Amino acid sequence: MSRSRINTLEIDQLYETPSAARRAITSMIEARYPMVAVFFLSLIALCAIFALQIAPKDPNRVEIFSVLKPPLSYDRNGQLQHLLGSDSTGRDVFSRVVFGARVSVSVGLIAVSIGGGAGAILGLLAGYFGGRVDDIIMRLADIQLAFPFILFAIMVLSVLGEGLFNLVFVLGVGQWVVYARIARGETLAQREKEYVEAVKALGATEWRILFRTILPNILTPLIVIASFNVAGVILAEASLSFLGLGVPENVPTWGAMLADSRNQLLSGSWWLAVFPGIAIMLTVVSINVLGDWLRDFLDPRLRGSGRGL
Amino acid sequence: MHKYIIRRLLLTIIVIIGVTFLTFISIHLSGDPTLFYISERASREERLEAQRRLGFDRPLPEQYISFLVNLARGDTGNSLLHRVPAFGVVMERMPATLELTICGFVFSTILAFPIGFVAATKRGTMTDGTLMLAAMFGQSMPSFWLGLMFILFFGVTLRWMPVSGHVPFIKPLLEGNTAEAFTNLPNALRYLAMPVVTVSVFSIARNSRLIRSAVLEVLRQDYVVTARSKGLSERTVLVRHAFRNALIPIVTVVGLQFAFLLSGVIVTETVFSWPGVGRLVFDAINNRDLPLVQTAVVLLAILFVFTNLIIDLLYGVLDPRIRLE
Repeated sequence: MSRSRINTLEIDQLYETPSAARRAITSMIEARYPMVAVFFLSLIALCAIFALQIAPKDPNRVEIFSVLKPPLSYDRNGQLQHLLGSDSTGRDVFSRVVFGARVSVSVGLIAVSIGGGAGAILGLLAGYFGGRVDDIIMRLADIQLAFPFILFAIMVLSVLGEGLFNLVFVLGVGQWVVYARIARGETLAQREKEYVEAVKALGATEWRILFRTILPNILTPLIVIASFNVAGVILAEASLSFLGLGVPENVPTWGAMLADSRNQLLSGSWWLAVFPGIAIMLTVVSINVLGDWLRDFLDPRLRGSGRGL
Repeated sequence: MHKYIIRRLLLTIIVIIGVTFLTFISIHLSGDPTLFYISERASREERLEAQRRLGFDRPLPEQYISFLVNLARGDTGNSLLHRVPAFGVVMERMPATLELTICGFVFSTILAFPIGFVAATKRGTMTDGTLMLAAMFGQSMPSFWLGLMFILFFGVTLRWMPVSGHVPFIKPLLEGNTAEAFTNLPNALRYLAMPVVTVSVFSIARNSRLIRSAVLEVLRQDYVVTARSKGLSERTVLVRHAFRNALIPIVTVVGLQFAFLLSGVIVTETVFSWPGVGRLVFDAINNRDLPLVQTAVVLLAILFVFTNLIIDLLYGVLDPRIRLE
């Protein structure tokens, strides 16, 4: 680049800017905690994907001769029987924790995709078209906000019955409002900008303006909210499972394990309550740490905007 | 201003209609609620009779409209299960839930403010790091799990705390038995301790993080720099310049947390067998006790909308620049 061509717009091109991926990795290493989080999440992802290979036993196998065995219990041949103990029907706690990762992770990801997608689109429409559309969508949001999510979830789940699909559906529906509100606010701001005017003047269809022009520009805050939201949904799923509303009995989940542990608490079988809880906590902490980092990395202005829900 | 409040109150009515409609629809979608109140072997005639008795024989729109009309008159109908006015059943349990939520609210606010402030003013130090790491964990664990751990540790292992139960305080107070209320107080607090910490841990963690960033945000502002360069003491800068301006985002979250507490209440009441509304609603839904669910939902929605209104009014008080139209 010759010196004569330098103008203000090109000035930052003089410095070699590393690719986004490289900048991301560097900033992650500098921050330290996100690296630990990534490590834990990879571990949990491995558990979720390879649960069959990792779990030493069938998570639902009832062994009436080894009920409530404490962690690190060996059988007569000196073989490790239950790494993290067994529950009141002799099911292996370690295997159940490993399989539980499957439900928690997939429920979290799918519910956030559903809720985030629907919320973003509704918010986009409300912000762009305004008027009646805006009124209807935002009043719906108000009604849902006035309704404690957990009541809503209990109600819908007791109506639809338990099951993975229903659980994901309820958790997804519970999330849309946050995305809609943010997408609406951002759209309102973007709608008036020159580039939108320009695309309009070029004769773009509304569809194109909405999804190709505006959406990419409002995505950053939505992605940040989504990352925290996965953590929130995992906690919500645990609460619902704890109340016995989550998934059927034969699907091991961390929340349901904690619910079962309640009956054994007074007899001192601590391992039933401790390990699934630690699994939830480490997963959620890791996601939150990563979310914090992602927010600072993508858009430091969002610092302090907190989490969704 | 008055106009604003009136509009908000009208909005409350819309919200209540929406919320009760949702409840009504979902209970009826789950099949005939009468089936929960007759024996499995009941004949067709018995079933029709029960439907008539419970009022489920009328067309659905008529049922819903008459519910709304009665609600406007202050009549919420009888609980199907308890066979007494639903309003009374909910109110019977409300004091226990209020004890839990109010204590949780006060406890979390009292703790979150100093934590957030200290972390912000000592930004980047060990204190800040430790507090925020703790907050991160507090925000990331299921609160009911913490409750279970409390029961395990303080209840079962150390035997310091009762693992479940409830000693009433607000209820005798409302009934005018002040003496009884205050003799109950020490015991009431003992039973409240673990549930209150459980129900508020998430709020403490989240709010202290938000308070920290709100304060940091304000400390970056030009007027704080000006105040410092004028030579004001750090204390004056923090208290007179930073605090009030940091309050606005904080009031939003602290107010919203009331809704969180309400959701947390159901699980917490389950963990500690606390005789409150949360547990009542949960059981009522499972029994398809429509009048009882409706009543509780309406009361909770009103509570929620009013807290939001108070928050919005507080904005204007805190920052005169904010005008509500």
